[in-house]
Amino acid sequence: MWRKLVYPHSLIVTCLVFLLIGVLNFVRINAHFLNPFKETIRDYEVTDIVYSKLRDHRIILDNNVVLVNTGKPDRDTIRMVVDRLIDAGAKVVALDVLLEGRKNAHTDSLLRAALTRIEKVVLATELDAYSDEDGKFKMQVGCDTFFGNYVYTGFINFISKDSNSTIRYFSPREMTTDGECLSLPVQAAKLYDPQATERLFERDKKLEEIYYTGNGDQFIQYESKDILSPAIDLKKQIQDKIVLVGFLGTYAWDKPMLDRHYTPLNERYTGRNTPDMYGMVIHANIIQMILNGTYVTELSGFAQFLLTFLFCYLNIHLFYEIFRRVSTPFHFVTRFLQLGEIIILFFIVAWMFRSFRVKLDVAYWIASLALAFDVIKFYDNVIRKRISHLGKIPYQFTPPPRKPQAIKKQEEKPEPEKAAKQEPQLPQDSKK
Amino acid sequence: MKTFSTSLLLFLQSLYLSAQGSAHVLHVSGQVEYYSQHGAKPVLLSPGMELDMKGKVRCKASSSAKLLSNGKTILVSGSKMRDLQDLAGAKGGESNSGFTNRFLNFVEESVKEGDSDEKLKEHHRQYMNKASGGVKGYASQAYAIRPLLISTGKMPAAPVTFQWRGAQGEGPYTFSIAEPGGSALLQVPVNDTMLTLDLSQVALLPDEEYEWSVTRGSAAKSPAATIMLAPSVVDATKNNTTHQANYKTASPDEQQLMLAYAYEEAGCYQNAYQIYSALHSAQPDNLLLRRVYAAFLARMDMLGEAVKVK
Repeated sequence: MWRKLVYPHSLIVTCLVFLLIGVLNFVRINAHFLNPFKETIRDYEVTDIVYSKLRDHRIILDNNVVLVNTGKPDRDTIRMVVDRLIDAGAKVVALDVLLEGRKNAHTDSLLRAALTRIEKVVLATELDAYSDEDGKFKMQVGCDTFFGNYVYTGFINFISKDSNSTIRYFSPREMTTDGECLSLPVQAAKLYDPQATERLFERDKKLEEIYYTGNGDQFIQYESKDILSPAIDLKKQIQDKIVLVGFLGTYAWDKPMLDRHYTPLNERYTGRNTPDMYGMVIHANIIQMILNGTYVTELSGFAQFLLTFLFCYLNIHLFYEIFRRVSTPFHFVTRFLQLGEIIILFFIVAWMFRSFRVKLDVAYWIASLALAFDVIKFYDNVIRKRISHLGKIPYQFTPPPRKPQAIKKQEEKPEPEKAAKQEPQLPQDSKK
Repeated sequence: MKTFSTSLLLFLQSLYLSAQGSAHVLHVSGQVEYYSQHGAKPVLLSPGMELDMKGKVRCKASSSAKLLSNGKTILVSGSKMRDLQDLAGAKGGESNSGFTNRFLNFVEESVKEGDSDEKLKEHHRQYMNKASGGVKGYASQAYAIRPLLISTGKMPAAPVTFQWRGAQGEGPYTFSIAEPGGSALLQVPVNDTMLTLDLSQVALLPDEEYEWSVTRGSAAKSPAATIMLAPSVVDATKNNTTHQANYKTASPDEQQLMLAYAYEEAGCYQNAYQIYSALHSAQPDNLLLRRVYAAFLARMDMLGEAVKVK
């Protein structure tokens, strides 16, 4: 069986392609003149197109999370909003607002009293001063101990190389000098549904990719004045839900830039555009992902390698076969195939992500596809001619002995032309 | 067979009814009214409310709301009464193709974008209106005549003065009232830049929007200004205000000012104007009334008149 599948020269060329990819990967070009191009495409993944252009734009209303826009609130307003939310029966209240320092003793005391009315209140902090030595954050800032010591806290740091990078990942938990600290959305989700959050921890990943379901329109959004209005009955919408309180611009024409970030949902998936999502909506997407268990799956390095090798090997064998059958239009057919395969690959990647949230990294697949043709030519025209041992290797391993009838048939003297056709031949350079 | 066809009919009907569906209020900015049916009392929208698609919505002043219906968001704005089904229908026209179609469209667009630079050079004029750095002024040059704000909004079924800023030229102005986008219901040649009409005598339907405009000769024209004959709104505003405790304890002048402010808030500018104007005429030396009147005129984009009053 394996003899039918293993084509020695295809295998050697595949190894050569991998070697070349390894060398190219090792010697990275960092030329200054490439920077504008690099800047444009570096923060791009194929799955961004799925989010940006190919996702189903049908919005499904989320029943677990409600957002409250407080703008830039004073502490009295926060206190009144929290009071109203607790009165309305919110299960978890998470404040994406940094209560830094102490302002007015009276106001702060009332706010703390409101925050401690129920157990499930989460305040935002920021992790700072990371130490490489012990891998811990030395500081948690942004939340005064006057508040933070009495309620749960969660960090709101996003993982981003700079302020212009796309937010793709989040860290569920980090170590600080005071012990383990959960991120704000994870802490909120844990208080709401401990079992769902346990499933997140069981995955045991340092970083999780955020699976975005929408830009905020999937959540009910209140203004703080709506919350404070006695005319509105909040119970129906707020009771037993996670309420995220923070800064949120609601309409496209009036969206301030504060706490806005780039996400894969950005309409323009390459180059620069305006940031498209508020931090609070990103937190809400994370909570939704945890509660629904809709995690993004990435293949292990070994599986990726195996698939890439298989893909490369099959393509090289295909190119050899094409050459054996149609040597004259070989160039044209091969190039056309490469283009077609890239489109099909893109479709598969997009479909896998959209349907199963499985993320395939096909960068090496495409690299191997691009290099395959030239490496075949180089191998046939240069390497095989110089290394005589390679010339002795057959195109395909000799099949095992056949059944007696078949042997009898072979014993019959074949016609010279027929025999030439049956015997496998190594590909030759088309110029010959 | 009969049972089967009946079941099928019921199934199709239920499908139809579910397609009618409902809309959820995602967000509200300002005050947006919902009318569950014609003549029903309006309900103010709040986030999370579920609305029957048979109803209508109307936004007050610059308010707006975002609704979610059938997986799509609907943005509601403008003071015009809007049918929810119409709004959802307008959205429903957008393509909602499957994944494969979206993928093929994306590839096709990518191919088309390849020659976009050449196309841009060849047909650059087609793209010029997509990128203009001009900051819009207060009046477009396309309209030489400008209707005044106090002659728009909700009108009483009483004599109303329509006013506009004139254009240079000869001959009378032609004042017209028409249905939105329809032909003129009334046309009057006018020599001055104002016309008083008793709207109770004109055959306008209550709570329906109409547009008035003015032309002079063949070149000068005004944009269409929207009015609505809304005596019920005028009465309701008056009732709401006069029943407040503060109103009852206020002095007569203060009462009039409260009423004028309530009218302005409700979009009944003509009523507000009449009250302010009457107060000022009665007490021309009262500094407070002068200032309040001037402020109102300034808000109505009548800065010249405001300066004179002040």
